[in-house]
Amino acid sequence: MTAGTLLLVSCSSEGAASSSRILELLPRTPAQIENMQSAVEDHVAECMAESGFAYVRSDSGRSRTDESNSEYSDLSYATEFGFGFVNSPRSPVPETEASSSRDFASPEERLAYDEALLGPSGCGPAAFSEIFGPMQALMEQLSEPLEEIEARVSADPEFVDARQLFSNCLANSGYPGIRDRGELRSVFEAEFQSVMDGATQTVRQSSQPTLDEIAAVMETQEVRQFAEREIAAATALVECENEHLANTYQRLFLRHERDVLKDYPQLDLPG
Amino acid sequence: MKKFLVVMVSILALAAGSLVMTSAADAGPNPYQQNIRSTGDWFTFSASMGTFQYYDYNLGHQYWPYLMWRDDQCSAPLGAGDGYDGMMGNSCERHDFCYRNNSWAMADRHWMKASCDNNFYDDMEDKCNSYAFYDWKASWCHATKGVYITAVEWGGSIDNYPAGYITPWCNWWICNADT
Repeated sequence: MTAGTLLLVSCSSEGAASSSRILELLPRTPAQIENMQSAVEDHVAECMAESGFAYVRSDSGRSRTDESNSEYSDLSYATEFGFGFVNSPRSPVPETEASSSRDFASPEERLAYDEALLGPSGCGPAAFSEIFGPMQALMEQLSEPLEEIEARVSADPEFVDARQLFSNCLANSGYPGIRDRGELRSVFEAEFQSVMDGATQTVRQSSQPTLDEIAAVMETQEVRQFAEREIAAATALVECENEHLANTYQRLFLRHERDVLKDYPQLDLPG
Repeated sequence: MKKFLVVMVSILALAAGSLVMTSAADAGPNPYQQNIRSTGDWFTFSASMGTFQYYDYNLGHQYWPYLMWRDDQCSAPLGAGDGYDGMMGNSCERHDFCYRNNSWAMADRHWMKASCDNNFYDDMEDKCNSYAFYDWKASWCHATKGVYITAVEWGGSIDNYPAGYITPWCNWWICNADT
């Protein structure tokens, strides 16, 4: 799914767009996370300079944004990978070892640098705490109300009805008796285990299989057929969710969030 | 707060606790190390998470005993279900696997760590993709991913550990985070 679409957004009965006050507080998009990582780097650079060291900023976190698999929507992920048991998005295997080691005049200088950067009172830990500490505290505060909202949504008669429609939709697609995403995933997880057991026995020639033999396992007919089945199931799942659950869930989440937040007046939420 | 920090401490333990340094790696990998590397590479960078988990839980120990498979450093505190506390457990497990096995054979430890961390990010992203877009747990997952990837990137300098030494090391995060 695209991270930018994660925020629960719905149209209220009055027709005005509204969004989750709780989830608005969480940095979720790559850009938001990058900003926090960049802030850590800023703190570290300043701190290291004060300690007499020249610090070279790391861009490792930010560089992966464009390469990550965040471009997948629910549906596009399902249609390409299913649940991700047989295939999932993979980054290219690194082939070259471009050294990122720092150059130091002596081992002592390197140790002093590392101590200043990563020691118990180092700049790195201090910067991490400064930037991410409040977020961790916030997430700890938010977990309980979020679970309460989830429980109320699940018990809401409107959602129960929507879930029945979702279940019927899946049954019509050939997956009866499924109440939620986790149940269908579990069914296929168990099947994947069984299929892999069978395929491994079929292919294995040696006590320590080579990578070619493992690759052959993944290319057996039973594994390939399973991959097709998981794609079909995951696609049907997302389509049924989008048709019967998504709007109802979002609307009820916002409704119950308003009620639950009254029980948590200590939370300092926007809006 | 304490609960969350326990999770963070576990993640940081993964980042830091099992880097294996070998003097042979400095001189280039021998055939034994190359075998570890090629197999470890495949399970880390090429296999789907489902495939990795299958061998991690089932046949990995039997087929490739020279690889270091599950050690519960990650799964014990994180694996108590598929709630938000445990949502990164599998990603964490493979990240640990990557550090433990690839550090034997990669000549450049910085490059190895960056490769493992990048793969960790992809695995967490994959996990976040497993939630419905409208589910609040998807938002939670992405926020958690940001904390975790930053934590492991700042998990410590791998230059501090001498050749041939399997750390059980402890930096301030691991030892002092809950104090």
